[in-house]
Amino acid sequence: MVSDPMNLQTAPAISTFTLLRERLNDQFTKVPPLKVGVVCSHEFNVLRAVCEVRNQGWIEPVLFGDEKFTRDICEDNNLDLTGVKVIDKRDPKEAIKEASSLALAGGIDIFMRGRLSVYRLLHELCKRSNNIRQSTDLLTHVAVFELAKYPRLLLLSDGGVVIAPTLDQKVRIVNQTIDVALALGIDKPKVALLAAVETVLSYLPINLEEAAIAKMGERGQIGRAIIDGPLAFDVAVSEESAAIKKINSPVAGKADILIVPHIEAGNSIYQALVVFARAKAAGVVIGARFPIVITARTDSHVNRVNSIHLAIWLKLNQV
Amino acid sequence: MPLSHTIKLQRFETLIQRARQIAKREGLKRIAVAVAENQEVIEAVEDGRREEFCSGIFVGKRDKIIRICEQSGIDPNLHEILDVADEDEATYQAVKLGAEGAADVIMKGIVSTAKLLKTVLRKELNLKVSSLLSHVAVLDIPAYHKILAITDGGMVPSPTIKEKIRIVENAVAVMNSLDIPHPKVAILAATDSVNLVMQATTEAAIISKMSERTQFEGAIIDGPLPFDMAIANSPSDRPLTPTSVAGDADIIVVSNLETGNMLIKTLDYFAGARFGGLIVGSRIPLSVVSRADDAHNKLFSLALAVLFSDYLKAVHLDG
Repeated sequence: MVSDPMNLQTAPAISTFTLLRERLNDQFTKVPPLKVGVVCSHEFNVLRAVCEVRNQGWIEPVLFGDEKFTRDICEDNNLDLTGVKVIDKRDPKEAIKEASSLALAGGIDIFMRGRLSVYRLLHELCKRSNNIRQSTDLLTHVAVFELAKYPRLLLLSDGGVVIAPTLDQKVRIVNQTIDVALALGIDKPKVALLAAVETVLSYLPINLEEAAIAKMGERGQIGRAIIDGPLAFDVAVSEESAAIKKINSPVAGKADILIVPHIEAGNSIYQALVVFARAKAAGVVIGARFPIVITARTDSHVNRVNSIHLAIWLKLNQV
Repeated sequence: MPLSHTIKLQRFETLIQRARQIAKREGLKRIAVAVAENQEVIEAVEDGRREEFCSGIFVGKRDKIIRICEQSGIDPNLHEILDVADEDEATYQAVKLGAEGAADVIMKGIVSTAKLLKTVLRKELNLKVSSLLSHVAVLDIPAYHKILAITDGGMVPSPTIKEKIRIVENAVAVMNSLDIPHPKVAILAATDSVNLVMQATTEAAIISKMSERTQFEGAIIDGPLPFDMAIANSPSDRPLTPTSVAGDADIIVVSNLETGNMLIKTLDYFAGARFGGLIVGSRIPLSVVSRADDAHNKLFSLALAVLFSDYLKAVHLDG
């Protein structure tokens, strides 16, 4: 965070997606809509979400993809493309190339994945130009959940991009997720480094790494946050579990951020929360100059729209 | 206080009824508790007695055990007590009761899991039957159409492919004992495509190919599958094989301890699931409940262990 354009120090934390929308609504009385570049735009779910946010007046989409297919999808589904720029690029590589050039010229604020794989989009984007990726940052996925049973937003990383982070990458994931929490007005977010058990055991490498990161946090080596781990999932989110297990931790039961040791854990938690706990959710890839929305086909429309809202908010807050 | 007859999930109730029927036929199943001087463990066994399927053999300090019983309003005469003051000796005696057939289930009291397992693996007791001890959790998730097993979220930190195969076999045996003769097994990963840089996906591919070649008896196996595709009819870009378990999994096999552990706890805490767990691979099932598990989950763990013990005996008799 290089500045505080939204007066986050004074505004209360954003605790629901409704509140996020209200705050965006306030902002867009002052700033023009952001430009969202959709790569391989011929995908109904993505077009539907993009059109909805456009109708809110917060984004101006630029579509890169199969133009005829894109227009047909919109016509068949009553999505209005009047005034939307559609750039005919059938080859995903060409679509990414064109979108990157426009982005570097300042013509795109946010990227959104259409009909191509996450890997391909991120890989090509990074290859295209070093300027897309900020030199020191790692591309990481941050998910944000609103849960009936939890009194605040819960952030999770990385369940989407980094497969098996090294210790160094984990520290970056922690730092970047803290940036997102701060942007949401969560002052001194509580970060839980998740493991299967709280004890530091020599045969569990994940627990060893998390102990090291937690100590770095104590020494003030990691951003403005309170960090503890290893912590099991239940101890991180339930004060009752923490009390029963007698875990004395400033994070236990009150986590704002969950850091998982690898993609399988993060992805499974994400799906379990969305499918079985009916979580409202959003997800964005950060670490590039532009937030990248990579929602999956299995995400609901509401959560896809939430993801665009989150990306807008992060862009406005320079995350 | 012991569990009162409050609302329990229907599928769990059915399984508890089955345990009760077995006990009616063959007498109450005997739970040997290693180092039993712990209120929660004693109460869990008493809950099982009130449900009419088990009684305890509490191995540990008699005075302390009797005092705990009295504090919890439990008649100690309804259970057996074996007075052993030394922790190592109490653990050994409890395990020996299982090995000699005087107990049907071995349950962890306040001894460490590591010490209990070490004792179970002692050669002279001849308790180990599979080449691997693994943990199987069985969940009743309100939003899912049947019970779901997750393995291994409790024992093996990062299984090799050889160990994963044992983990599958152990879980299939548990589901067989719950009257699910041909369980559908999903090998979990973060994606449904085989990605050579994600070991979880390549190993899943190998195991599911083994299944196609009928190298697993009595199970239908598919993977890699992400959690949402394993349990719901989520759209995919790829054609799934006709034998696919997608959307209808009975067993979820995770690629590491952390993923399993976090997934179980996510479902427990946020999706209103109940679960029981047991350690499989020895001649006698081992019941290892966590302090943070609530009374329902502990009761269910015992019921599962009783059902599995009965199944193991039947398999053994068949040769």
